[in-house]
Amino acid sequence: MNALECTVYCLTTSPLFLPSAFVLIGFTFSSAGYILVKNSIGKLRLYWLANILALVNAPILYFSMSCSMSLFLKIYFGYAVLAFSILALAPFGYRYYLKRNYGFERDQELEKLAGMENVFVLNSALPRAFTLGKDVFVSAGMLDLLEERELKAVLMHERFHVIQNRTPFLNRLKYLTFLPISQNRIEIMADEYAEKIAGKEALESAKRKIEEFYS
Amino acid sequence: MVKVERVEFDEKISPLSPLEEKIMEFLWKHGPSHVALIAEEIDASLSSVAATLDRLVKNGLVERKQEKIDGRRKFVFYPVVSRNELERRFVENVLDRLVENFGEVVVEYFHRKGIRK
Repeated sequence: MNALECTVYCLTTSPLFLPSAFVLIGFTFSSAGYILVKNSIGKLRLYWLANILALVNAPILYFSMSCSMSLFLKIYFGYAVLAFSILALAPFGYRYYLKRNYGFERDQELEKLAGMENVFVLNSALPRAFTLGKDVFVSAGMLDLLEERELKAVLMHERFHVIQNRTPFLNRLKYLTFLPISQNRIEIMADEYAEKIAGKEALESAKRKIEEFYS
Repeated sequence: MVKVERVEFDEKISPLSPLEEKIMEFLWKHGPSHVALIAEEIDASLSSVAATLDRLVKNGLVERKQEKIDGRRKFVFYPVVSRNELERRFVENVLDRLVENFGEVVVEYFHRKGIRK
């Protein structure tokens, strides 16, 4: 009997088979619903439902696989390889998208201000700043809107992300351990870092200007 | 070649959306202008003007020029296509597509109207 046959055998003979199948079908439907539903509240509810069902199903599946740990490990390993290759490729894909739709070029003046290499100006009138891997992108709209000290605060915020990306493997480990720090928490840390170097006042006024622009 | 994809047949046919039209109108009249000035003069939000300018730059109707004021970089936008040129390209594009898809009908129509090449 191979691992898959063993798992199927364990699962079908187990008294947990019916509830497990029921939960699995529910999970599949709510996940599909989450993708298909347009209404954001509906989306949120289906997301919760899918999560709860997945949580209920996890111990059931685990016990059904107790006779074949190797399949469990294979699935986990497959997931790890897939997740890491998608994460490694995503920045290149986004870079290509930016090049095609806006265009960008390296900017020595900003590199000097930030004390970093690889700072690019994105040809967009909307004020935007973000980091892809070790490359920082600041849009022309951002240069236009902010004064130098505010720009420095924004660059320092991005520098935190660059430091955070310096160890891409460690940084992505959260997808394997399922213990992610929320993006919100990371942004707060980046803001604290920027405040320390560029000053609280500069960061606050940069944020205020950007908020005003989009309001 | 400018991409002129949008054709709105409801009230008037135009290669530009209403906001694009307003921005181009302003730029043709006033020349190189800053985002904030355009937004204020045509009474639109900064973000929608900026997003529309990005699209106009991508479509090759507008270009951006950098200016240094007190060591600060400022950007002004100016049209690189005149209204006549834009209209000519748009009409040619629409006619080209009509001829491509309904060649004989279009030729027959122009014959009937007495227009000969």
